[in-house]
Amino acid sequence: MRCAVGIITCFSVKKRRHLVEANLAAVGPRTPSLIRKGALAALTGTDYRVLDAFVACLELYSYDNSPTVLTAARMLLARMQPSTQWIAKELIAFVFGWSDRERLWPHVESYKVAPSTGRTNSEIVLIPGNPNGSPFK
Amino acid sequence: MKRQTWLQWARAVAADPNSPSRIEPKMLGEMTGQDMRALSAVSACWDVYSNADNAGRHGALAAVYALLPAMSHTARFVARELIPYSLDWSYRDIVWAELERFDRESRHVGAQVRALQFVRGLGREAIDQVIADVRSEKVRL
Repeated sequence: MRCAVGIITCFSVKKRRHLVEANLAAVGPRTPSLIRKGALAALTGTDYRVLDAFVACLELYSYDNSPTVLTAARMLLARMQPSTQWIAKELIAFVFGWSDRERLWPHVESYKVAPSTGRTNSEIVLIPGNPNGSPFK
Repeated sequence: MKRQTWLQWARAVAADPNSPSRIEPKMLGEMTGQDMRALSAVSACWDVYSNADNAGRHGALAAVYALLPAMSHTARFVARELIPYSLDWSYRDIVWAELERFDRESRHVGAQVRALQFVRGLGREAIDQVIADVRSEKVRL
């Protein structure tokens, strides 16, 4: 039954393995996930693509925990709708564990300037300097 | 129709002598596990780039730029050759040139000011706030 609900809800995105997993987790009554049935409906096409790339970055980070990989994830996340970014946080548990959501989220959350000091809701992505110089050399 | 993965596509174009791709079959064999994961992420970034507005394209380029150090030199070459998987052959040079320009500008202005590339359009006060936050380590670069 759980599979049936997950597959029907994610019919249009069945290739996106992590979202199917997220949806299945949403069906489970005792899951720590905050994703509930229908929560993925708000995702736009760009959001889906960003989530794909976000999960790919996390999978790379699980292998090579370089801060620049988290930076890439942060830059991608900033391109999602602010209202759906929390879904990316829940997907951290798809690659790592439930407790890692709180550990990693502050590193990938986009940085916002306070409305009083600039344009309202402006998002800024900070890029770290590359200690090894240009990656093109 | 099920879309082929970037790896299936890369293998197919590498095996085709008439393909404009510069990927050679042996290149894919040289990839490490880390390279493969990094290329999966880059391929997903090119997908974001191909379907985004200006801000989205900039974000995808910046993400690819941040992912490059995680790859070997051969994998970086393949990252460029993966652009036509999401776009078209003609975009390979255009998009990569954008990435190289991004690199030149970034190195020129330095790490802290590099952050300000994304603050264009904000007031001086907001930019000062960002610099202060970076210096006080309130936000991490």
